[in-house]
Parts: sequence; structure tokens; C-alpha cells
Amino acid sequence: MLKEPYGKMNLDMIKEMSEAHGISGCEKEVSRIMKKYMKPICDEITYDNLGSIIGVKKGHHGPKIMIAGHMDEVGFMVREIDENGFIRLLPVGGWWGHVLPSQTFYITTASGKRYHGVIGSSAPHGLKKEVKEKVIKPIDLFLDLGVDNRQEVLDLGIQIGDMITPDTQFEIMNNPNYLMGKAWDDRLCAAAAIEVLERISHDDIEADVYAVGTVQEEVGLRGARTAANMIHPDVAIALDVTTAMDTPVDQGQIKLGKGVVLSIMDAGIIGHKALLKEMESICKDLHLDINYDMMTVGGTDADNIHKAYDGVICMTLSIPTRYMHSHRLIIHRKDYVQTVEAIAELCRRLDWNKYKQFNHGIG
Amino acid sequence: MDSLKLMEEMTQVVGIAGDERRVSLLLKSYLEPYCDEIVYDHLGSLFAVKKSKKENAQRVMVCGHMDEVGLMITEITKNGLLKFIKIGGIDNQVLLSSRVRVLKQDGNEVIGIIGCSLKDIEACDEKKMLIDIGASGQEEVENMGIHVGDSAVLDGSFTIFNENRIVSKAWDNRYGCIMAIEVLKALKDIELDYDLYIGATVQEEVGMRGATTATGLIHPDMGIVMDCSFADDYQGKDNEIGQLGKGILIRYYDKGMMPNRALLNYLVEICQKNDIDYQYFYNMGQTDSAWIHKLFAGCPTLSTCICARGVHTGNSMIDLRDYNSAQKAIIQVLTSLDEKQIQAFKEENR
Repeated sequence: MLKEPYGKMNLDMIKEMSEAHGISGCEKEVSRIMKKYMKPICDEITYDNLGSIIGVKKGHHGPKIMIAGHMDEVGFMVREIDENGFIRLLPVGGWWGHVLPSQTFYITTASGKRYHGVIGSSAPHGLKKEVKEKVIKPIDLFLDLGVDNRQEVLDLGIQIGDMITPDTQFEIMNNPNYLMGKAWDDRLCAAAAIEVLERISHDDIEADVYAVGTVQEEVGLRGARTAANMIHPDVAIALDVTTAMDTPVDQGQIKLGKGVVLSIMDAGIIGHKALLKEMESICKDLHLDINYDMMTVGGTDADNIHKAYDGVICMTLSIPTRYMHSHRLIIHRKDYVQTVEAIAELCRRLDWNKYKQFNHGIG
Repeated sequence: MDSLKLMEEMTQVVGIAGDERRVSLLLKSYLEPYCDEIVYDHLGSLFAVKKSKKENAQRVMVCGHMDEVGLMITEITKNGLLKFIKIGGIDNQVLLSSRVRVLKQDGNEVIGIIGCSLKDIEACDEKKMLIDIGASGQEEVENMGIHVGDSAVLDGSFTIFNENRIVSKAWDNRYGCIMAIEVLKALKDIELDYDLYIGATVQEEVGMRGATTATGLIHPDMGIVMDCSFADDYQGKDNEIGQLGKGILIRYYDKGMMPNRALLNYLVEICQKNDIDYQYFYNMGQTDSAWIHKLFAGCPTLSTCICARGVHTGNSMIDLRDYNSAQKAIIQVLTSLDEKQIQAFKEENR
């Protein structure tokens, strides 16, 4: 296994992207980071009306290619402030009760103030067996802010509907290829879209490349729809994380550190065959490793992008992560770097001829 | 016309999803005097247009939905009973022994009651239930002018309980239709900074279909949805979600839309400034907002709902004070909006 860090990766950006706070509908902290990193390397930055950010690097009147990762992370909203000042939670995105007790979170108020709290739980002492063996539903959990009562919470400016997000610092692990942080789903991929722009920023290419941070993926792929409507792309790659199956509790084909993962299908899209083939030949030419992913449950932004207008040539590339939808996810640098390189090469190769080839098998 | 009379007329008219014409005709008659033009999408959604004096003004779409949940006749049995399916979500326990109004194609109605075999009565789903209109055979039903495909709704007359509580069928969502009429009327001498499209969509109860097409028609810069949500306040606890008489709903989460934060706060501030009752609300349902806000490049959309007990039954109950709170708030929102403000909502999450 690699001990030296694999390839080129902007760790400052990755750290900022991971540590930023933003559930579905509240992604502006993330989009501002994306703006900061995209501005110097793209021609124009625009937004859709839900907040998805679009950075375009213009080519020479070639096809438009959209590279999308979503900016929202899973989190909670303040559902109720009880009389003792405990915060009752409303999950936004899918959470498993198992990963929550004793984890710390931040509440962000409407004015942007941030307060720390911990999810409380019972002590094991004398707990009944059936209680111990049962997973608590997220809706039944509560956040303890360490206050006397409801009024103290209100005095902090906390209100129903405020965003609650995990409190996790980015960390480079013992082997520097392993990176731990929150929200790799899908900040890692939004960051990858920026790095694609970075990789091609000095290349003279024909295609217009749109790097996009979409909003509201976790609640229904909504920003992908509005962003695709803004761009009207000819070709699109959605980037999302997939579950690594390489731990004592998860066993399967997808493993960290194995390179590019081409998603053949998920519940909402069957990847475009010609595009898939092109990605395979790019990987071969660049000596990148090829893996395949197939999901029958769950979808990605591609599901909405490929159905926009009269249809978009589209597929998903996945980056494996362990411990999805929790406070601490672990990814592998090689998977990220290879994914970025493969997509950058697609951008370089895409012209109207290639586009025609993609469409050739239809009709 | 007085408000209660209008409420009675609008809630009592029959119009299930896909068969909203009678509601639509009424709406048109009440909206027409106060607008420049009436427009329709091709599914039947109807909007009154009140133009601003600006060229290329922004468009604000304000809507309820015309359709109500109900039944559709699927078969006439040999012994003169009517089999049916549900159009929209109705719990089975609401159906049995209910009085229904069957709408014939000539526009007249026939009263029926829903029954079932004695052996089925304990675990009865709608497949075992039948509408009884007093006919003794298939031919008699046909002679009465009832056809497969005709609509029926659960009957529920308009009744005022204890001054402020109004019971009727179809508060979901004639609330939105009535509000559209009264709001447009209230704005008649007011000039707006944008073109107002106010009216009602069709087919919300079967999948917000009219909202999709109406948004396609209008291509709005901002949306406001007026719908009637489930109250859940029978236990009398302080923390119940959707309490009658506690004011307009500040809908901060549902399955169809994450709120535009600036727009939601705008509504809260309007309520605070004008002493309008409001309550925070979330549920796992959705409204027309779900589609309005995410078509085209997206548009800031606000839910301005009230809650009712007994939604999707023949006897839903609203509190008149909630209606009045919502009306004040909606008028305040609409009269204070301008181009700059709408643009700010669009840029809220950047």
C-alpha cells in the first residue's frame, strides 16, 4: 500500500470544504468557499435561484460539459426547544441513530452565530437489555446546549428551523492517503469539480467546462435540476460518493484506494453507454484504475441532469467513502486524484466530433 | 359579497382532481372583475393577471389548488351499487357509512351512502365498499345518468361552530381559492411593482401536476402557495404541530421544499411587525411549492398555509382567526414586495 501521498490534491481547499457548515437549503458557506477557489481559474461565476454555484471556463464554442458535486451535507433542524432548553431534532437527510449519541454539533442561527451542543443519551448503568439493544430513532434524540432553560436558548438567538451540523475537524490519517472529515458526501466531489477546472486551466480546449456545486441533493436532487436548466449542458458528469465495502462490518466490491469508479447505473439513471466507453478508454490511456459501481437504491444528481431539456449525455463517477452520513468519513486520496484526472481528460477530449460519436448509437 | 357566503359557496362546490371545472367557473366569475386578464394552462389551472405599469415586470405567482380529494366511479354492479376508487389520500375508516355527492355529467348531483357487506365490516377497505344511491339494478343507475368515471365527494355541509370554527368539506384547498379571490379584491386599488398571477392549480392531490404546468405557463420570479395542512392538536399539548387558532403556519420543512430562508424570515417579520399570529410548522407532506420552486432555474417560494382538523374527510374544520391572520400576512407580503426584494430572495443562498 502507498505510504507517500498520491498525486496532486489541494488539501487546504479540501479541509475548508469539509469543515464548512451547510445542510440542504443553507449551502452559502460552502458556495462562498467554492467561489473563492474558482474565481481565479474560471471566466464567470453564476448561480441558479436556489443557490447552486456555476463556474465556467470558456473554450472555443465547443460542447458544454457540466461537472457537478453537491454542496449540502446531512444534518438537522431545530424542531423544538423544550422548557428545559433541550433541542429536539428534525433530520434533514438520512441518519442512523447509532452514529449520533455523544457526538457534538453546531447550531447556526439566522444571523450566523454558532453554538456548540452534544447529543445526550442514557448511561449504560442499569439500562434494560431491550433498551440497550435498540437503536434510538434520530427524531427521539436531543441536543444539550448546557443551558438552564428555554429562555436561555431563545436569548442566544436560536429559533425553530435553525441548521444543526456535525462538529468535525479535517484530519490526515496515519497513512497520509487516508483523509478523515465530515461531509465527504459530497463536498469531496464539489471540490473535485473545482480541481478539474484547475487541471485544465492552462489548456487550450474546445469545450466550455462548467464546474458546479449543486444545492439540495440530499432532499431530492433539486439543485441539480435548476443548475442543469441554467446551463443546458451537452454532456454532464455527476460526482458523488459511494459506500466503501472494505471494513469489518461492510464487505463488498468497492474499496478505498482502488482508483476511478465508473457508475454503470443507479436507481435514477443508466449511464450513457458511449460516455462510459469513453471514460474507460481515458482511464486506460492515462493508466488509471477502473472499477465499476452499480446501485439499485439511491440516486445522484445525474438522475435529474440527464432528463433535462431533450436529454443530456450523462453518467455518475463515484468516489468511495467509509462511514457515509456520520460525523467522520474516511476517503482515499488516490480515488480522488484519479477521478479528477479522468474527468479533466474528458474535458480536453470533448469536441463536437466526440459529441457526435457519443450520439451515434441512438436512432 | 360577504366572506362567509363566499366560503360556503367555494367549499361546497364539487371538484375532484381532473374534474375541477365547476370550481374553475366560480373562481373565474369572482376573479374576473378585479384583473386585466384570465389565463389557463392546458390542464385547467386558472390565474387572474394583474399587470403592473412596468415594462418586462417580474412575475409573482400566488396560488391555491382547486381540486379536492374524492372518489371516482369505476363500475356499476348488477344490483345497482357503485364501485369506486379513491382520488387522493383518504383513510378508509373515513369512508364507511359516509354520505357522498355523486356528480353527474349533466351537472346535477345524486346523494349516496357508502356501505359494505356485514362480513367485511371489521376489516373493510375501499375495494369492498360500495356507494348506494337507492337504485335496485344496473339499468336504473344508467337511467339516472350516472356513468363510470363520474366523480363523487364526501358530503359535509358548511356549518359555523361556536363563532370562529367553520366546518365544511374541502377546506383543502378551497382555502387557497377563497384567499386568492379575497386577496385580489383587497389589492384592487393598489399598484404593484410586479405582474401578479393569482389563482389556483389543478390536480394537486394526485401529484401537484397543475403546479408544474402552471409554473411552465407563468415562469414566475417568485411563488406563494396557499394550502390547508393537517392540524394535529387533539391532545392539547403545547408542542403539538398545527394548532387551530394559533395563526398562519411558518412552514420551515416539508418533503417537497426547503424554505428560502430570507423569504421565510420576511414572513415572520411581517407577522411580528403587524401583530399577526403565527406558528412554526413542519410535516412530511408536500404542497404545490414542491414543484414551483424547482422548475426552470428555481424561484423563491413561500408557503402561506393554515391548518385544519379533519383534512381529507367530509368535515374539515378551520379557525376563522387563522384565515384572517393568513390574509393579513399575505396582503402585507404582496404589497411590500418589489423587484429589488425579489432579487434579494433569489440571491439569498449565495
